[in-house]
Amino acid sequence: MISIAYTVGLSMVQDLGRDRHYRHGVSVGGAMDRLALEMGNALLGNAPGSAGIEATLFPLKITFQEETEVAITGAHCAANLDGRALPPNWAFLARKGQCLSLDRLLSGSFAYITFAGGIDVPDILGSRSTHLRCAFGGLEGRMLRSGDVLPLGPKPADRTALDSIGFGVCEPSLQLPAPVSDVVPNGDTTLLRYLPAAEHDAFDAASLDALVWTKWHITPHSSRAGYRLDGAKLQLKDKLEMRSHGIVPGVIQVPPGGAPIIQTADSQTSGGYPKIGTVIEADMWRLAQTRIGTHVRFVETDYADALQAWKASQHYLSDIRANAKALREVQA
Amino acid sequence: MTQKSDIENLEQDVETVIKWAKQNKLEALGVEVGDLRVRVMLQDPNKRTKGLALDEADLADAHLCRAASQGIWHFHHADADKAVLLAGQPVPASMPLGYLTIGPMLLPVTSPVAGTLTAVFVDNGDMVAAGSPLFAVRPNQ
Repeated sequence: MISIAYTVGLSMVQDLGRDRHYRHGVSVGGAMDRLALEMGNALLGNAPGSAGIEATLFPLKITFQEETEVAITGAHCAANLDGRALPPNWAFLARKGQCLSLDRLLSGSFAYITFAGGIDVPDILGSRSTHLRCAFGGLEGRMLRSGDVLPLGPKPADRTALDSIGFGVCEPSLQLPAPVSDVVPNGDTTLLRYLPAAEHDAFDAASLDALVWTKWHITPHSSRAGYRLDGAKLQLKDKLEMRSHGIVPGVIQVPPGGAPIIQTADSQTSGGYPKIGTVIEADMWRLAQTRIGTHVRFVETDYADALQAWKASQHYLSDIRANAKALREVQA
Repeated sequence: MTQKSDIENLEQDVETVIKWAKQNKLEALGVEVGDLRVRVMLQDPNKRTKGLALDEADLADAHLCRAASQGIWHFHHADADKAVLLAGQPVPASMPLGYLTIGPMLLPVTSPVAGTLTAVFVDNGDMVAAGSPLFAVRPNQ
């Protein structure tokens, strides 16, 4: 068991979400940065979708009622275990009574804390993720509060134990080829690759240009459900009336106001706005780690590239999983 | 799935890669076939890695810390401030003195004993083989 010694809010239990109840209107949910959650689970030898804690506001302090292996991944935080500083993307052994403290955010947005065996809250509709809007999943369907106690699942067997120093992984931005663009400057913006979506060609030429030439500001009206962007007005060639239809995380919808919204983890399952594009799955973690108030740019890509990028991220994860197992033996 | 023919191809590729590496005076090159990846390292066995030993006598009673795995040596974590080890510096036991990057992984290297650093044999970015000496620590009396 672990307990939340201190939180200021916005921390919750997340896993890879619910993918089987979309037809019933249940959003996928799950971690905003799925890659980071999976990195933690790969470092610990957990099943890929084991539940961990997603944290966005700090400090967050966790105390351990039992000896357990822990990984911190995702956003880079100033973190320490009983005062001993921890590098980012790190797995280590926490002893009974020790306190893990994530003091403040240094870069990125969503930090993940995963535990050997995962957090063992009830599985609801095939997932342990917290669905805040519907108030189910996770711990009582709500954000974590100071004093909460979370049970851990059975530890993965058949492997060498980690030591208290542990080991880590180079952050994904150094390992996964970043999107490139020969037309737009990169600089301080996150580049997101997108595929043209169904209504792409219904937008006028100026809007299609604006989509790739605009430095899009992520407005404060963004949440786990969607990132609302600001920077240009995207307009249709002709008025278009559409029925509501299924949409998925990554879809870039354009409401009549012309300011696009990128659907994210808690996106609703259907919508009726025209879709100009879809951010590829392999770049969704880049969006999640781009802070609200900063900027993104879009780069058009094709299906083959999207698939290639996805495979690269899966290769990175399997590399971590295999190497973590080998490094445990080296350290022993 | 990796096929047997992939492995045979890989063996041929390794030969080619070694040839290229030698021709171009490269120390390391990697090849990838299917889901197999091989990194070739060419190291001159007579090449002594950088030595900052104060005195050979200092090494006599010192604990040699060796690389547990092949990897690339870094004095500091990619995200941390620079910290370069200097000979003569006191080192506590089990504090990471540097990191080996192995593929995507970072393995901290610690001194098993508290003592004084008497030698550093590696430079930032050096590729080391498993068992290479990295630094020497003379234990506290």
